[in-house]
Amino acid sequence: MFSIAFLLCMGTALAQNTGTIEGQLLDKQTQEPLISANVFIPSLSKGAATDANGNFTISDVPYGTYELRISYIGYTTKTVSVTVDQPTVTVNQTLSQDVAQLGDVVVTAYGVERQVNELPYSAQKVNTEEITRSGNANVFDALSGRVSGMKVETASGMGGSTDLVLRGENSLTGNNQALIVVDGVPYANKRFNTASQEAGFDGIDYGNTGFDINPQDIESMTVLKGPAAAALYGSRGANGAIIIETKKGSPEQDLVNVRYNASVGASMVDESTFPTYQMEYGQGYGGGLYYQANPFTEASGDSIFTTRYDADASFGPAFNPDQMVYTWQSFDPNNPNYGQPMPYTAPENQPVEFFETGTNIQNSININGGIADGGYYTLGYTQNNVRGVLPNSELDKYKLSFSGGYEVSDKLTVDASIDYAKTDDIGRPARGYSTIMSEMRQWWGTNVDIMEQKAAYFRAKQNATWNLTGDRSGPFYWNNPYFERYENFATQSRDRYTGYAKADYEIADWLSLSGQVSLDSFTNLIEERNAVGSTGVSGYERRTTNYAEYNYKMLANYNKQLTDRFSIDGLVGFNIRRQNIQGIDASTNGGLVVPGLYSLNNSVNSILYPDETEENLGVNSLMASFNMNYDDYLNIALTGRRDQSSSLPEENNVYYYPSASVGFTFSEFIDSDALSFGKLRASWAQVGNTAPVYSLTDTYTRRANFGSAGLYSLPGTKNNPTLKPEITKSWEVGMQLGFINDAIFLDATYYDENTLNQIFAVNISGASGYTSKFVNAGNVENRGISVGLTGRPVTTADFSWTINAKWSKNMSKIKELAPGVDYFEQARTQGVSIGSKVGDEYGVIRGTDYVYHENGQPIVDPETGFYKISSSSEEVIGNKNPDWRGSLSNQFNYKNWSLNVLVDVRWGGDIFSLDQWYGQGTGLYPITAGTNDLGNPKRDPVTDGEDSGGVILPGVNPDGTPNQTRASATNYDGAYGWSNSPNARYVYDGSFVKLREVGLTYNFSPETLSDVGVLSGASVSVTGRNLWIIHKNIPHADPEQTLGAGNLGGYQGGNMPAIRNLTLNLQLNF
Amino acid sequence: MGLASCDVTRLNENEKAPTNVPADPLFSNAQVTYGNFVHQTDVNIGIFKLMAQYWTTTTYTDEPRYNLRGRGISDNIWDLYYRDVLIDLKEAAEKISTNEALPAAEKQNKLASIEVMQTLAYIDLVNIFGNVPYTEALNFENPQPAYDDAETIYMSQLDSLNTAISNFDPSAAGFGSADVYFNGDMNMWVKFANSLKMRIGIMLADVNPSAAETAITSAAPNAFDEGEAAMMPFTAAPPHTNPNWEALVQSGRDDYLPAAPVVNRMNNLDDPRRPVFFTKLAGEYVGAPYGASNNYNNYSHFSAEIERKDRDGTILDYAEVEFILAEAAARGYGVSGTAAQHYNNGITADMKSWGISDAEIAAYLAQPEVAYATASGGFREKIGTQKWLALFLQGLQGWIIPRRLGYPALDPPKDGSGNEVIPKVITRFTYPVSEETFNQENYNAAGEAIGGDTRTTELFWDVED
Repeated sequence: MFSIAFLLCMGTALAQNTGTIEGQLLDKQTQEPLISANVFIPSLSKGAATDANGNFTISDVPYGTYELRISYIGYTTKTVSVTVDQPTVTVNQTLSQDVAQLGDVVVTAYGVERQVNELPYSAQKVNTEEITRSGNANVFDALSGRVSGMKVETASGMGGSTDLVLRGENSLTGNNQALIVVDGVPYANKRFNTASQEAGFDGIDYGNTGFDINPQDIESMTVLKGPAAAALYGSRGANGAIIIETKKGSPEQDLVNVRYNASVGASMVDESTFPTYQMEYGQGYGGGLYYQANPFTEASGDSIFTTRYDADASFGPAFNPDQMVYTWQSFDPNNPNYGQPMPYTAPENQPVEFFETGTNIQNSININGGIADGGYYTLGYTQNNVRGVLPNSELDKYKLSFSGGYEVSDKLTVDASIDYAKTDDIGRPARGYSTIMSEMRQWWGTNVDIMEQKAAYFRAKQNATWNLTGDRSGPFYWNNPYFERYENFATQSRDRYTGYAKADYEIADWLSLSGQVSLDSFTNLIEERNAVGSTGVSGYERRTTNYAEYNYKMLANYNKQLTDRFSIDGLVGFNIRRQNIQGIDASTNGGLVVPGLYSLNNSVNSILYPDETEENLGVNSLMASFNMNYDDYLNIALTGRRDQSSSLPEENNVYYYPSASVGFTFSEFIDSDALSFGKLRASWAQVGNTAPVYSLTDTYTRRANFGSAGLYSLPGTKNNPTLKPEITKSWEVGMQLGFINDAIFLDATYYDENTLNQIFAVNISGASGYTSKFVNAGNVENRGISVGLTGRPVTTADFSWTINAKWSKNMSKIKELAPGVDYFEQARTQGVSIGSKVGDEYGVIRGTDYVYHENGQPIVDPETGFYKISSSSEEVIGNKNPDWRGSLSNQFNYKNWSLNVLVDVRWGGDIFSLDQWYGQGTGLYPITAGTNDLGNPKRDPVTDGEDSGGVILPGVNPDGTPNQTRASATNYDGAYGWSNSPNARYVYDGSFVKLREVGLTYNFSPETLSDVGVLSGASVSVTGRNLWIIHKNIPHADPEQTLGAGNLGGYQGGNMPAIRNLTLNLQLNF
Repeated sequence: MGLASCDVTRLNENEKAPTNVPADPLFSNAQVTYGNFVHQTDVNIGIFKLMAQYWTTTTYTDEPRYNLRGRGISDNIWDLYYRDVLIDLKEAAEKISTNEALPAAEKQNKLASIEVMQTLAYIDLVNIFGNVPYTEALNFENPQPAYDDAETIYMSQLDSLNTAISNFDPSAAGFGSADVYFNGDMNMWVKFANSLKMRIGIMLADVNPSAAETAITSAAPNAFDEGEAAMMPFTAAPPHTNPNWEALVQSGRDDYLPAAPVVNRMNNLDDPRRPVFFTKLAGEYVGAPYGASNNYNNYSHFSAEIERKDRDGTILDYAEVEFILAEAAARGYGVSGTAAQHYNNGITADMKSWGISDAEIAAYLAQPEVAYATASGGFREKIGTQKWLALFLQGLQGWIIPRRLGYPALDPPKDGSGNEVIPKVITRFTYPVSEETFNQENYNAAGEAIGGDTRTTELFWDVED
């Protein structure tokens, strides 16, 4: 924005004398030369790189005084003033290593750039280089382990949705996601997943629209962690903000600079996060093989043995290769085994073979440059083609971006940008109950060979399923998984346009004005299919969403050096925001007439009224900020914002968001060799959330007509015309300490946030005629600590090692709910609920518990050998919140090589596994088979003798003595699974330690490149993500996979396994 | 700053959903929701055909074995009555009461029709749970309503029903085509109201005989006649198809089988309704053991008639009226005709509704095991058995018979090891978990008042064993 200030008299050089600047650049501590460092004169767009001895030469410099900018990765950038008044001027300089990157410029709210050491609040710059190289199409997924105090959890699978929560969830039901701002334009990060899907029922994960951001376009990314940092954004900044600036040209550059990036990646399933199965028994709910009439002969009385193909469980008869049986294959007319019995054995191929190797190919080109007379431009194109690990899954993303600007005069600059992103995908993963993942994790037949299912589907493209109805007339509970993937897939297509036009005008050297009009808009179409021949009713559904947000912004920026030591800066401005979302959702009714034709007019019955919605939201804002810097050791920042929101009642729709921060660099007053930098900071802010659109007045719900009678019903949630905005009051204190010339650097923050006046729909007795009503009440507290520690244990000329550790702990507490309401339930699925009572943390898991003896052991019923189950289903059985999160990153640089290793940790946080609850109940998992303490098969009947089957469950008798009773394990109503277990039995500790990322990069040296000619920079890297789960407790699943983005968690069922990625990346700069 | 020109206040008006609707679509919605519910077979809410032991399941036996909590069945039922039926009726009544433009007689008729629907719903609620919120119900400003005594609700609804009956004016209009059950025929509303009054009356027979007799004798002359009934007219086009079709045909699944308790009794009596209800297996009608894990191929299935997409669903019919009269006569109430006559009329009416020929009906009635005089047991057993058979598919009403009369004697289901899962057939549903969590104090008081919130607590009218 202040680039105008750099504009000097150009085009006058020819007439003048010129000189040469030369010099050497050394490391301040080691006095080793710095190779390939950048020395640059911004005002002339002229520069040079240092050679192997750290020497540089810039020739043809017109006589005059210049700012010389010296920068080197990992070192504090330095600017020195040089006067060229003779043919050769020598400038020898040293640079300090900068592990803390204190001199780094971060972009704070409303695009104001600041140096890290001046910030009086908590913000963190993210190293985007590693993200770019990792080839990850989802830039936010790549943030995991890179931002302290931030929860980044991505649903596994192609284009999975990402949950971005800073410092814990503040709002009970509202949005808790961080705001994303790209080049000053708020960037919608909307999810299309249905509420029921996020509560654990089946549904497709459509990801979030933040996915449209292209990692290759990103120049810098700053995370404003707390309300104080983001208070200028008003209600949207309550959950922090992620500020992204994209790569842009500048007038000082050459005409054409090209950056090309290509990557090829492969992805595969982490088998430790997918079931293995018992291999002793086949399909069935107890009992032997079926012996039934032979359908292949005319003769009556001819009977055959068949598998229990109608059961979606594996408590069937034991395998016996000598026994010939008719299986689902024998009844599939297109199968080579049609009409033939087969040996009754365990299958060769287990369901894990269902997953394929995914691929990810990305090509990105970015051309930018400066044009004579103050013009500049950027043109970018990125293409990203992903094939997921599930059969028939593909995602293609194309992005075209253009931006350009022109310095009309030395006072006025205009620039504009337009981005077009197109995302098309087929077959995104479905998760939750009654999806393929639920089928394989909960309801499988262990005699089924997955490759036979594949072959059977491809032979005739029919639903040749392993799970037939009793009379074999069709699928019973489950489709052939391949049929499901290739016929019942969903597609999504999104066209997105974002752009802005902006003008900056410099009124005085200390004051400038800027106006921006911006648009973020997309059309999203989701189509879902259920083919003829599937379970359930065939059909087709299409959901269209049109989203548009307009922002009109005017800012006055001031920046004045009042004395040598005292400067002030800040802004005053307004923003007008208008958001419009329109949706139409229509489906066929009663089935499809023509198989394979997915069109609304292929409906068997007349289609029902489409569900049509329109949401408008308008927020008018005024904001101002004032920053004061005294002698670089005292920084004070004050911000204020006034929002007027359309979704609140007229008399309550204006609210104010103040913040105040102070930073004090005390090390200025301490002369210590050990302590090189020391700063304390404190801030206070009050921000908030507006009400959801249309939560003030009741509207009636339309239901399908009955004949000519139209139907309307009152809604189940009572709205509230007297809502006030939610308010988050927060304060934080922080400390930054640098030791031994900042070779060790510590950044720690303690925060305390209380969100009051929560706007949420509380559950009320259904007998009131409503099951919930909107209230303004409650107080959710989040307190926590986040710590970052950086150190560089080894530094030599050729080798350096940097350690970066992050640790954070958040404690939430529900301090208050609404009057008369002492429990808030977020979800209740299959008997287990996630919710909070006053005094609880956010998101406590409740269900049936064991009955415990006073010695602490669970009591087993001595009659049956089963656990005794609490009579109430409202016992606390877990807590989704982790004890802490942490990460450890090690970066090694050796000559041209660099290696980074990132380990990501979540410690604690419980998960109820619906997969184990059902999957053990259906006898899928190895624990349900094998032998017992007597060496007899567990699944044999329980007897009084030595031949007894059954298992002794760990626990005690009612009198406290150890349990000795064998519990029957012959069927689903036995010792394992849902029938005779408390929910608590299937709650697992969700801790994990993951080797999140390993990246190896080779940077070609300038000498090598100069042989090639046109290249100015090049690197090759290999990055592996999610390579190894070093530690976890939950069996056959990834503890990171719960319900995906949203406020829920602590509940797992039918999730995708973890996916490993390996990416090869090539980057070329011309 | 010029913000005054950018007014935000009107942006919050939802242009796609109404803030006000006429009363008619609310009333229609309540009728359709109720009519669909009483015929539901969805295991999350409609398990009464299982409770009555008319149907049983194949593989998953949680519901026939009385697991009400796993799927939140009580919650779903409770919310349906209050949130999806009663509140819409109340809202419709308020709109009608304040509608000055409505002719007085039409207004009366509409309000009376609403009252009948409300009574229908509240009596069901009591019959399922016992004490329920009533005087404090349906008020969002009271999120934790207190419960009322079950019998008090009965008597209060009886009063309201009497008022409604006296307010009907058959010569004036009612809900017209918005009336899904009777298409605005106010004569039928009068008969429906009187028939419902008889249903309430007979429920009180063992606890308040005088009220029972008054209700029945005053209502009988104006109740349903032969061939008349309140029916939910399911359609062939989704989504208002018959839920039995949805469960048995549309789903493509083999989840349900005719249960042995009903099939065996019908076999013993050579019941001519069997071919209309069931398919044969190897020449026999074979019912599946109630609550057991059953192989679909080993038992009779439901017939095409039961599975018919647009089969009307009975809410209250003439056959039930006759069985009530039979019981009233047997109890010595002042009704015309004998118990045997009404008993025969009830059986005949039901069989005719299934298209059974007169000859078959006569033959059936002539059997000594059926004939009123010779059938085994007292009136409770005779009438109980036949009424229970006649209520086939009306699960909620069917489940009431063995509870109130003690007959037919049904056995509780057994678990996989052959042990009874519960000592007796359940006699009520436990209150919703949501009441336990969101209305705790009142929930506790209600549980105490009815003798414990258990599945085997007997309701106030359930005094005979």
